[in-house]
Formats: sequence, structure tokens, C-alpha cells
Amino acid sequence: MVEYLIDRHSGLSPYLQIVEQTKRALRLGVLLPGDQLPTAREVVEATAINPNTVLKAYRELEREGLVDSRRGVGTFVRRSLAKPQTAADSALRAELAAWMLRAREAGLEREDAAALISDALDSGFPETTTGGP
Amino acid sequence: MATDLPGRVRPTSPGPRRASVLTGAAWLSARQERTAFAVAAAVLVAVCGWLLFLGHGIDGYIAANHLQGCNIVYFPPECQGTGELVGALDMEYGPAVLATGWVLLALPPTLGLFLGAPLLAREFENGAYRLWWTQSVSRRRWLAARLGVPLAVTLVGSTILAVVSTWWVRVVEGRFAVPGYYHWFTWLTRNTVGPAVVGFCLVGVALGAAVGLIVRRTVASIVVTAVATLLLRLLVDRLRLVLETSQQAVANVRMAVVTPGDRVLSTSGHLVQNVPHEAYELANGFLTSDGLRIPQQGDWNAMVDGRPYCPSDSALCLAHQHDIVQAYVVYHPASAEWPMLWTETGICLLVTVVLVAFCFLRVGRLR
Amino acid sequence: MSHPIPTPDELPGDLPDEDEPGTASPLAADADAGAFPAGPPALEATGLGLRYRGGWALQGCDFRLPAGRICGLVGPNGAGKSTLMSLAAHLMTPDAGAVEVFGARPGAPESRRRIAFLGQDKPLFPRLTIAETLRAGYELNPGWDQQLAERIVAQGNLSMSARVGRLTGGQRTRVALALALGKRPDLLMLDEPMSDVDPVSRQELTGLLMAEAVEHGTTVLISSHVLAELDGVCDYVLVLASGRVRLAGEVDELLDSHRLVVGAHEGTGPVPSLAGHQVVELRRTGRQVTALIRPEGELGSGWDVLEPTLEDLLMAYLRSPEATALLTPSARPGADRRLPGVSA
Repeated sequence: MVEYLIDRHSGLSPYLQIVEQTKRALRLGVLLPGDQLPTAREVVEATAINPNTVLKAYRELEREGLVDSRRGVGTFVRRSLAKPQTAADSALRAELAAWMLRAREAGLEREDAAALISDALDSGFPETTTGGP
Repeated sequence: MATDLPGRVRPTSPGPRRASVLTGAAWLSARQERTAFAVAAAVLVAVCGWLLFLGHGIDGYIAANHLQGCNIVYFPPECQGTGELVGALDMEYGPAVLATGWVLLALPPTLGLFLGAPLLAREFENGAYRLWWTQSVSRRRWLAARLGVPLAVTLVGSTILAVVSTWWVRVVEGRFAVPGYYHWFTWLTRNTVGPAVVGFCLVGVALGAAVGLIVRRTVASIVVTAVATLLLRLLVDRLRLVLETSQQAVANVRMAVVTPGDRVLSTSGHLVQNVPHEAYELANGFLTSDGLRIPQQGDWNAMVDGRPYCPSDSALCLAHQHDIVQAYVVYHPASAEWPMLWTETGICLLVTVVLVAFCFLRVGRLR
Repeated sequence: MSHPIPTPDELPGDLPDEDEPGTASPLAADADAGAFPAGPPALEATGLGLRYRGGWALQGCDFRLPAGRICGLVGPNGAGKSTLMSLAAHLMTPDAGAVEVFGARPGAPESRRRIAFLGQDKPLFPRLTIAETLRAGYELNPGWDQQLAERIVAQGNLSMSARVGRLTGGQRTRVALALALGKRPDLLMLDEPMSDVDPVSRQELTGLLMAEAVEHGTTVLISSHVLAELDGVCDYVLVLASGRVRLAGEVDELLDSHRLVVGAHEGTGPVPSLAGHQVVELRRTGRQVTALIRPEGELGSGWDVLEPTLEDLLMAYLRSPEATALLTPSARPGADRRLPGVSA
């Protein structure tokens, strides 16, 4: 199960927030194939957003082939976005953790590190731009 | 998610359906008036208890002193010598009887003011009507419940009061120096006996409710209801004997001037003797040989003071003094009492029905 | 995200495109959530008017609220929001025109059963306990859901034996909401429901409202003058000002058909590069011009084009009473009974 956290002041529409958060959960392996997404009722009761927003987000995920909705049963994860390289115990992650430690020792603040990473991301993955406000 | 957290839901109430005489709209209507009903019931019990206590005491005194026939208004000859006993009875109970008479007289209008007038007015004032109207009940069902329950409770309560009150009035009638209780037609007696008590209570509540529906403010409703009740009671008083045909008794008289410049006294004939006991006199006067009526309004003594006479200010009487052949009295006999009470009750019930019908018509058009 | 400026033929009036049956389509993924119910709209007003102290509280109101929507009712104080709800709830009768609830007049028995109305002052019986208040709901409503009502009360940590008259404003709101939702209405009208509710309960109660709406397909009409309160909650909106409808329709469609543009212009005269577009509101700060427009065709260069938020859109319409009223097709009453996205 995932729990969606909707930030009303992020400028990002609740619809996109649900899509993004689901994908993140799929990437991180929080959601695995066969897992059920919370029902619209559960989501709206917890987040107080419009039910149609949730359903629209679920439809978008379905369109992308990430989830299956079975009428009268619920919405289930079809495939994971998790890559073994992103798992908590992966080598890449360990390297990043070590880098973080070094950055701290070098006297960087959290923001400095984030800026550095973002910069490196942009040059390392030039084809994608990050969404956001 | 919140839905699934067990333990967040504490089942604190017993199921909605509990054993209850009333269901649906009637239940809520009764629940809304619970305090008013409780107070009314307490007053009823207190008043009835007091009436029984007082009546029993008076009855006991009368029986112990053999004063059964001693009506203080007529004071029959066989009661000669009981003056002190009768006086003592009046001294002991008279003030209480008068006060109790006032309470009995005030009860129906009080019910109208404090149960009837706020019944719908408060509902509009605090917005409760909107709560009702947005449930699955129609305005008419709301009104039926809001009027029906209090009217039914009033019917039951006032019937009990009427029975006890009637018994009590019969005990005290004509026994105390309380003019309101001298005869069946005096103002305390005729308003605190029999079915009229029920009628006055019902019409009071209906009148208050109808006023509340128009005025929609509790205090204003009480004030307007008070005025309307007073007018209604005057009207009922006016109409209470219209259905009864009055009787007339006559006596032959001959009139002549006894004292020049003064009044004309009868030279033969006496009081109208054949008026029955406990008759309610409406009018009296003289009849001329050709059938002309010369009423003596305002001078009751002209017929009873030993010998009939023409008052010195009655020009008509003086002008016809030589033609006067009879004196007359128009009256209602004591047998008119219950028809009178039923007429009062009938008028009250009729007005109640009209007011309730008005409420139903009006509630559909409220906007 | 990229938001292409819609071309004129995509402007409100068209059904949402195929890729995104979106806002209007069946609540497919969920258990018993079906399509937006076909059939009559939850509310439909034609020429609706009500006189009030010599003026009109509402005048010439034409709009439609399709069933299954969560609609925000917005407008300044005295705009006629409460009047509109009272007319639909049969607490008042109109002086002109008519309003229908699921195709029936408001006073009809089926309308009474299908509507719940929570007025601004949340009328309750102060001398009743909460348990008795819920019992009143049970006694007066054939479709009463005691469990639901009790759950709403319990979530506020209220004792069933508490007397309603002793509750705080927020607690009263909760009880009134329990009474309204326990009725299991098809159309729930809430007039400024959250005005005296603390933020935590506000979120919880709104969530509950949304959950009930999705589970039972309830249409919700909720008025508020806290616009932020409606953002994300409503998928439909109805804006009233001075007793008239200013804006009505799907939030997505309305947002899609408007743009917030920022550019430069010297002086105070009309801005030539905005000619041909419908300008809802235009504000100037020195040389900077900020405008909310309904673009018709391409917009010239030199403009920063933003997608407005719901709040931007509502504020612009509320501040510009002279702008042309806009109703999307599903919000127009009358002949077109077709509901977008409804599969037969």
C-alpha cells in the first residue's frame, strides 16, 4: 500500500502528484506487481481531494501500462519500475552514500549538495527535464 | 486510512430503534416539547392535587357541621343560626377558593401562551424548521407533528383537569363570599367547569401556534397570542348563550304616581315571582296594554325591590305610566348551563379547527 | 507540464478528448463507483429569480449541475449563494423561473428524500443529545445510515450523550454533517460548512465528504468564500455575483480555456496585442500588464503565458463583474441533455 501526500501549495496539480508518487513507489519497489493501490475512497478520505482527480490519475497510470483496474475489485500494479540498481543495497547507491559523506566532510550544506546533484543530473541526463512548478 | 482503522470507531450509542410509543415525526415533535410537557404535567398534578385537597377539606367541614343546604347567596330558612359556622368556613377557605378560581381561569390561556405561542415561533426563530424541512418529511407532516402531538397532550391533560375542576366547583359554588362562584353563570364558575375547560385549552394552543406561524418570533408571538386570546374569550362570552332561547316571566302591575316629581311605583302587583331558582336574568321591564316593551336596563332593582317602579330618569316609562299592565323578566333557567358549556366548547373547537386548517394552508405557501 | 493554448474549436463547448475521458468519465477503477449517473442533472435552474427587499437576491439564473460532480459555489457575500441553496432545498420558493432537483420540483417527496442541506448556521436542536439528534435523522429519513452517522460523530471524539447546545461550533458542524450524510442524499448542499472547523477537522471532514461522494456517487454543492478551500476539492464550479451566474462548468475545461498572460505595455489604453481575445481581467503595474484572458487563436509574441490556478480564475471573475458570463455546455440548462463522457 502507498499513502499519497498531497501538497496543495506545491503548484503541481494533485492529479500529477498522485501519478508521480505512484511512479516513485514503483521505482523504489514500495509497490510491486500484484499490489493493490488504495481505493479512491481511501485516497480521498485521507487527502480530502476530489475523487475524480484520483480516478484520472489511476487512468493515466493504466494508460501507461503500469496498473490494471479490475472493475469492482480495485486497481493493481502490473509492472514495477524498480531497477535492481536502485535498490537500497545496490552498489550505485552505496557509492552515492559514500559521496554524501565526503560532501559533508568537505563542509557542504544540504542545499549545496542538492545543487551539485541537480547540476550533475542535468549534464548526465540531458534529454529529460524535470517537471515542477 | 481512516476508514480502516479499527478502534477509531467507538460504538457509543445503542441502536436507533428503542422501545417508544412514538415514532417518526411525532417522536421528534414530542422530544422537542419534552420540557414543556413535563412542566405542564407537573402543574396539572399539583393543581389537581390541590383541588382534591381543598375540596375534600371543604366537603368535610360541611358534612361535619350539617351545612349541606346552606347556600350563602340564598341562605334558606333552615340555615338560620348557622351564620357563624358558615362565616368560619368562608374565613378559612374563602381566600384560597378565590385564588384557586383565578388559577383555574388562567390555566388555559397560560397553556396557549407558553406551549402554543412558542410552538412554531421558536422553530422559526432558531432555524429548527429548516432542519425539519430538509429531512425527508413534507412541510405538512412537520406541521401535523408539531401541532398534533401538543394538541393530543393538551386534550388528555385538560380532560383530567376538567373532571377534577368540575367536581371542585360544584363543592364551592355559592358557599363562599366569592361572587365569581355564586351561580352557574357567574364568571369563575362558567369558565372553570365542564368541557369548556378542554375547549379553552385546545383553542389556546391552536391560537398560539397559528400566531407563531405568522409572527415567527417567540416573544412577539406570546404578546399577540395574549391579545388574541382575550378577544377570543370576549367573543365566546358573547356567543355562549345564542343557541339557547331565553324564557320570559310576567306579573300584572298597575302603576301610579305616588310621590309627585319622584318615581312611579306600582299600586298593585309585586315582583315577578315565577322566575325559577338560579335563573340568569338577561333583561326586565314593563309591558303596556298594546304590547310595548319598556326595558329597565341598568336598574335591576326596579323589578326586585319589593314593588316594581319606574326610575325617575326613564322618560319612556313615565310617559306610559298609565298604560303599563305587566312587568316582565327575561332569563335563562339553570337548565341552560350545560348547553351553554357545550356551546362554548363547540365554538372553541370550531375555532381550533379553523386555525389548524389555516396553518396547513399557510405552511404550503410560506416562502 | 505543457499546456497548449486551445484553439477556438477546442474551447468550452467540446467534449473532453479521447485520451482523457478525464473529468467526466466513469469512476471506473473503484468498487461500486459507476458512471456519472445518466438522467436528469442534480440541479437545473432556468430563469431562476428571487426578490429580496426590493431588489433581486437572484435574477435570471440559468445553469445546470450534472449529477456526480463536486461543485464549488463561489461568490461574494450577498451574491445569492445561500438563496440558491435554499430554493433548491424548498426552504424558499422562487419569484421567477424554476429550479429542479434531479428533474423534480424541490418540494416533491422524492426531491426531499434525495437532498440534504447543511445551512450556514447549522440548525440543530440544542436540547437534544447527539444520540437523539441521530435518532431524529433515523425517524425522519427512510434511507438513514446510522453507522455512517455514528462514525462521523465518533471520529470527532464526541460523546453520544453530549448535549448539542453545549458543543463548540466545529463540533456542531460535525453533528450537522453526520445528520446530512446519514440521510444518504444524492445531492448534498453545504453552505460554508467549514467556516468554524479547525484545520485538522476540516481536512478530515472534507476527506470524509469526498469519500462518501465517491462511494455513493453523491453530487456535492459546497459554497465557500475561502477559494483555497475549494481548490483540489471541486471538479465543477459555479460563480455567482450580484445574483447572477458569472461562470459555470468543469474546472478543467474552464482552466484549459483561460490563460494568465504577463507582458509589457505603455500607457493606460487598450492593449492591441490582446485584441481579438476575450479579456476577463486586466491589471497594470507600471509597464507590466497582467491579464486573464480567454484566448481565441494564437497569442502574439511578447507574452508570458501561464495556466491559471482555480483561484486565479475565480478571483478574476469575481473582480470583473462586467466580463461576459461563461457556461460550459454541460452547465447550460435546456435542450442539450447530453452529458459528456456518459456511456449509455
